[in-house]
Amino acid sequence: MIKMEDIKQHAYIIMNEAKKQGAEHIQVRYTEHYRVGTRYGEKHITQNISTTSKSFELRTQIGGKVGTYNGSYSPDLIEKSVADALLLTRVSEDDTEFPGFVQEKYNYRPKTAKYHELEPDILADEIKIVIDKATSMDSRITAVAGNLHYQSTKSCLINSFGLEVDEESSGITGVINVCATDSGESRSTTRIAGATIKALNIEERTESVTNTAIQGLNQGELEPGKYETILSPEAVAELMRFIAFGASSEGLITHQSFLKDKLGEQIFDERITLIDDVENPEQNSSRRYDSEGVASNNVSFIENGVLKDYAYNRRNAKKLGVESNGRHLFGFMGESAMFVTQHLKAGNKSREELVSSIDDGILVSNLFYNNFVNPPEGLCTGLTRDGLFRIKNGEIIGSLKNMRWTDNITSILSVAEPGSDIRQVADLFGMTFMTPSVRVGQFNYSSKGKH
Amino acid sequence: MEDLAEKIFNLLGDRPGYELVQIRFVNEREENLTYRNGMPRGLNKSQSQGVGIRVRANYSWGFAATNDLSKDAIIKTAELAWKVANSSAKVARKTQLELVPEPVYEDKYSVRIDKDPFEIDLKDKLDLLKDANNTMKENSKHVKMSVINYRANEQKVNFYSSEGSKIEQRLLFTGGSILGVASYAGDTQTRNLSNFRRRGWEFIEEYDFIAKAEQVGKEIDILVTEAESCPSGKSTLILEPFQLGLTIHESCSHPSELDRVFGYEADFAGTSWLTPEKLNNLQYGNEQVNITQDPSMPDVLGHFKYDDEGVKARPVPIIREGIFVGYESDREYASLLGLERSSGNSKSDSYSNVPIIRINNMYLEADPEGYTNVDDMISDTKDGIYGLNWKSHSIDDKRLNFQFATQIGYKIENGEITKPLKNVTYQQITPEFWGNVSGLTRTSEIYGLPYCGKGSPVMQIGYVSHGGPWGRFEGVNVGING
Repeated sequence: MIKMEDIKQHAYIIMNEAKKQGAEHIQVRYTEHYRVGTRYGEKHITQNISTTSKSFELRTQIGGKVGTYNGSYSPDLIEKSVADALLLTRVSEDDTEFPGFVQEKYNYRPKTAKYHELEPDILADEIKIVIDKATSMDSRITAVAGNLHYQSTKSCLINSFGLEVDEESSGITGVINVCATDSGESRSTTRIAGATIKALNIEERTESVTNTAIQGLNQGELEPGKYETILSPEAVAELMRFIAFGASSEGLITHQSFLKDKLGEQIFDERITLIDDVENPEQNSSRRYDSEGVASNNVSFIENGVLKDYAYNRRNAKKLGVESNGRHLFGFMGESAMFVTQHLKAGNKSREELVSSIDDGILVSNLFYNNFVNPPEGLCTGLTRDGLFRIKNGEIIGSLKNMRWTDNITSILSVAEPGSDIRQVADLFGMTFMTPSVRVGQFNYSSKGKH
Repeated sequence: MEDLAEKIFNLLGDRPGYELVQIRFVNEREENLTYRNGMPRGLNKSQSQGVGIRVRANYSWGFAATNDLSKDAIIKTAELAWKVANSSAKVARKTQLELVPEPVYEDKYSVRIDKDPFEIDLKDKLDLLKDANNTMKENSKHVKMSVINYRANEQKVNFYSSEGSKIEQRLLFTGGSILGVASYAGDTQTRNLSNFRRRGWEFIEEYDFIAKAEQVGKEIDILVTEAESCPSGKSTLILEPFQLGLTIHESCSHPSELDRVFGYEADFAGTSWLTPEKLNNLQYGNEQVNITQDPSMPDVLGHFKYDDEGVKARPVPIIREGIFVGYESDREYASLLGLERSSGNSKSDSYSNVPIIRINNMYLEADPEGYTNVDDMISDTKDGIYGLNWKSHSIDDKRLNFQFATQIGYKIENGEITKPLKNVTYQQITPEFWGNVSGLTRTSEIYGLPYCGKGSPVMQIGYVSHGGPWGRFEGVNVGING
């Protein structure tokens, strides 16, 4: 296992080379990453992987010009990589919106997470537990699918103004999908996340999704329309991702945010409070600083339904005349800023109590392939998936075929009551959400599904 | 590389349960340059190299990867892949499955590159982006944001299989996008034109960023000043090849992936309504619908000569005269269905990810007896909507209920375009949509989309291409609102 001193040494080798080749200001982010991932379907393991990587991001500034280079770390290639990076910077034009590299001295919170490596056998054993548990519960369980993904990272961020900060992390995410078959098929899914395998409560979650899969057999149909609805944590997490986009300062600049110009306004029900909970080590996407080196602390960005803040990085903060709150992201979509560690404050009612409070409504287990129809409006669409249930007079009376929903995020959450069944839900894009079920006053189902 | 591969084959070859090793050395580089509102906004270069080793032992797969290319690290990675395969075998398929055979190849291949994009002066690229930015501004009163992106990506892949294949491929693509956002009188609208092809810098010259920026600038102003909201109800709908391609991608390409069909994507992408008993028995569309997968087609983004299991690319019919006739497979899933050969869909997006079944190049065939072009089709349409380019997409986990939005639309009345439309949405059930094709053109185009996400727990990005002729569809639900 590599030592943090070695990681820092690699980062300084890159920075010194950039200095030597003429960069005026430099930022280096160096990362060593370990992962074990196991995927299973139809009751057996289909893919099983273990990978390691060493990579870096080098940002260089010459005058007002800036360029970014990402590469695999290999001692033989450093000179050429740095030369490539600097060529890009030199031919560029002045980037007048670039805020410069961090010069502030932040008081970062102490490190809490640790880097660990895990044997592939351990995940295989956990998967066997899932499959055995689900199939032993009912003879109608015909398939079990899912995955477990364990990742550990050691990284450091340095710059030529003296910044030096490092981080270790490890966490696990997973999916359990259980299929019951009788005269038709019914599936149920849970997306789990935790700092350790134990935190996933694998047996309990398997039992829960297996019960839902069985309960979901023999679906009836319902006419589209607006219904009072309980959204399970997985479904709420999908809506929270839309809120993450809406609350991004990027959307203020690109005119794509449905929360633009709404600071201080009552946008959701007063029972909705959302915190970007980066200080909670139990949430997999927690962190002490962002990828620019700005300290990241908790931000309560929606309090009692009122929008209190947006997610900023240094570039957007400079453009909008505010301070960064340490939410910089650099990834597939380029530079952005986002709340990716959201925690929706729980209410007092259990999920059963939420169900019993509805006379005529629907319980949604999951939402799928959700997308903005028109981002500035907050209009979105998607489908229900893996468990849709009819509620009448406070009781679940049967399952339903899936339906498409098309609705506005602010309308959906205008009447919203969180339950008490809070848990962490993994997201497909590296976010994690701590959320309970939420009862919403109405949810617009726009067309029927076929299964 | 070849010596190391041989060493690994020898190392693992005599062990009990050993079946196969596939090794991919991948060297990748990319330029991703963006100008936003006349200024550089993300000038990024990247480079990676590494090796992914896939071992099949005891009828189970193991995969390990590293970007440490020292001999010791690679041997250690091979040992790890072996260990992982044996870990998989602890929870193995109950029935033992042989892979379908594939001939052994020794080959060296490169896509067509007349002008190496990495050799073109960076300044020329940045000037092009800046000029396109300025052009959009000159052509739009209401533009709030213009984003011009250029991208070039190259993967050099050396594939070695213990079955004997030794294949070197240079897979390169170039392309870009021209995005405009306009706001006026409380409304915000976007227009985005993009294309990517497996070609060199010459494709960028042909694509004409400046003309596209002019078009986007003019059309975003139309959207915020003149366009009416799309009416709601049933309508005749004409789609141009880009949007038609996206509709193929979601409603035909994904459901015909065999891993989904067998439930192996249930944890993420979903399953499929195209279950095995439907092969050769299902009326997927009407007789005008002929959909083909062909990664051997040169220049398109989904093109390659061999997939990541060493299967040689070839055309595979998916829909013939409306009947569902083919799946996308790899060597294992082809065997599970009882097919004789893989369709060549096994792809990984990098050295560090395991190959899975991926879409490559799938398109609707043009009608040689059809309309001469889209103008001819419009003139023969009494009442309808013409929708252009992707704005939003969504489809259920079995790929039956889809809903898309296009960036811009036009109302057609009595054979003529009468007004522009905004917020055009359409929703339909897959076989009902494809069963109501009322016309195709003779002309066709194929577009590249370098952002298809699939795979879990690590989502991989696929480079796919789709398209075909302009198509007309009857009885489509349009104008879906909240």
